[in-house]
Amino acid sequence: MTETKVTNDELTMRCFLTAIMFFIIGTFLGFLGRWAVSNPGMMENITFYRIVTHHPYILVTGWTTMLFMALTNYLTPLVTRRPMFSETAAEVAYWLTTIGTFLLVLGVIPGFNGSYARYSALPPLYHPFFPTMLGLCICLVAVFVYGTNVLKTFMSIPEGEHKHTATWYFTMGAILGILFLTMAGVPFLLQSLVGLLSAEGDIAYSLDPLISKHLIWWGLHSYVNQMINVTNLGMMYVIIPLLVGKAIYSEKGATWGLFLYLIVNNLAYFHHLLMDPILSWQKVLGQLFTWGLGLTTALSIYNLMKTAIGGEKWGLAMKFIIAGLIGFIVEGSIGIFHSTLVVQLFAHNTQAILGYVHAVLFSYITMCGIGALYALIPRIKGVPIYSKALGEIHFWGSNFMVAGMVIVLMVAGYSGMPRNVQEYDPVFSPHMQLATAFSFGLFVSQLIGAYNLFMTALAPATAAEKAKVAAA
Amino acid sequence: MELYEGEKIIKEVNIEGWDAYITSQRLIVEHDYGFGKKRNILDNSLTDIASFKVKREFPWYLYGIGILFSTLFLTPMIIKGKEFLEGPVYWMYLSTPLIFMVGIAVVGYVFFMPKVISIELSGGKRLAIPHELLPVFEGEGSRSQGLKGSNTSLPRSAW
Repeated sequence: MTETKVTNDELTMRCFLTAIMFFIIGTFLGFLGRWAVSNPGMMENITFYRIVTHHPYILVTGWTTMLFMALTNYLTPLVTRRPMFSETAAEVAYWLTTIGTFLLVLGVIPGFNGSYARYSALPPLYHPFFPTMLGLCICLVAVFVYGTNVLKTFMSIPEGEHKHTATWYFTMGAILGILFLTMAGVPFLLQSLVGLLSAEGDIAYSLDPLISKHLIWWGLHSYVNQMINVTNLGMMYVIIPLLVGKAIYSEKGATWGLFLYLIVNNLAYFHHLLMDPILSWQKVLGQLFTWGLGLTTALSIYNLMKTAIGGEKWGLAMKFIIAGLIGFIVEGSIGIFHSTLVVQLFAHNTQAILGYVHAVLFSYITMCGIGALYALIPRIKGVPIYSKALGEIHFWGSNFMVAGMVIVLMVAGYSGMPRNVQEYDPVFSPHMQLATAFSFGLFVSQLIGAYNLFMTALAPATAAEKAKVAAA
Repeated sequence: MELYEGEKIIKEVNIEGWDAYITSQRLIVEHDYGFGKKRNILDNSLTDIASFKVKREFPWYLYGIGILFSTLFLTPMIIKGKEFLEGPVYWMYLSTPLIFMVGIAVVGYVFFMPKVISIELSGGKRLAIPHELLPVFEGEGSRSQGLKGSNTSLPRSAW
């Protein structure tokens, strides 16, 4: 069976382009939120809070989840040499994620009654709920459909047949994604029911707030670290060998690295609760397991770096991926530093946390994801990339702008500037204006990149170009 | 793999997705990356092979990341950690990087210190392939008789 018969190119391309569209919307909202912080009073507080609440939701569901679903649906057939268990399920997951994220986008618009929770782990603040809760619920169902499809595909591989390393990553990412997103969803759903049934303006608890925070952070932390990070690593175990023309440096190291990672990941979430009244042993475990989490991811990063080095010359796609791997070293270092009680005392709930989150989700995950897009869109379409020059601008713009923004936010945070506020000590005005400038640059870089990728995807391929790309 | 006119395969080794051939003219190594068709890892004239040796690679970078993460983990707790933990618990906490570094040493040795054949081409390019492919270099016809064990280099002049 050839590759083209088992992979669903059309659905993959649709997912890629939809993910890029939501990525641009989410990045624009991020810039808008930054602009509002640097210009206090430019918009109503409630609008500002709606923006900063929906910005991460849209990017996690519409960008990263959609992108990694698409990558799994395309790469699993490539490495298993059999189609996905159900193409209909893949299609349903796409539409559900699109509709759910569209509702989240609507939630930002005044008059649509979106959530303005600011800090979504606080259930009492988490209402009103339409369309935010409805959008999140639909995205949760999409992950169920997607995860089940990946699991069934994995189970269709005959016993005894060699399973490519990436197959384990995709499958574990998908099924653990279901588990942990459900866990985080329980308090959200309960709280939404209480919110819907209670009188307007009432603040009602559906669960003990501490139990609620445990469930939400255990779920969300593990979702990002397993559904997103594990799938991302799996993707790179396929894409990097393809791009550099080398085999995986250590296949056994890749497989065992995954299982060690899964063991230490699950209790690292306590680091989100270090300033809450949790038990001392939980605080100590949270710190130790965060450190273990960094080290076990580092096993894969090392393995991938060793695979990449010494292979064929790195093109644009590989440059993005390598920047992403370096991004991991940076975010891992910040994360481990932040996970200690001592640092939490001055960094908790400050701009420094936003700096860290952008290092994780942009410098590491997004850079790797964009690398995959630059590798696969030309491959699927059978055309070269629309403009290498625009790709270079995208690459250097992304690196420079995100690094600048992260550094400024870290400095402001360590100096005591709280996050998600429009009123603050004027001493932080220069920091916030600089961060806004970097966030605008980041948005423009992504706009250029999106244009480049869309033009590549929409370009008609000549027979000669198709043959050339296929040969490459 | 396509052979040139008059070229013939002298020795062939196939191991878990890897194929290595010595022909009358070339050294060819192919791998399937774990999926798909076989792709060329190495396809060079025998006269292009400057040297090769069997060696173990040491995961320096992995230890580097371990030390970096351990430093970032320990520094804040050494400076002010006694405000939160005391007595044996504090010292046990501070000693955990030692346990993790032992873990890195074990994982590094088992998975990331593979024995490889490091091949240097005359253009200066280096390539590493699994040492399990070593038999292709040995024996009659491969012109490298006598190659045994690790750290044995075979300069071009010896071919």
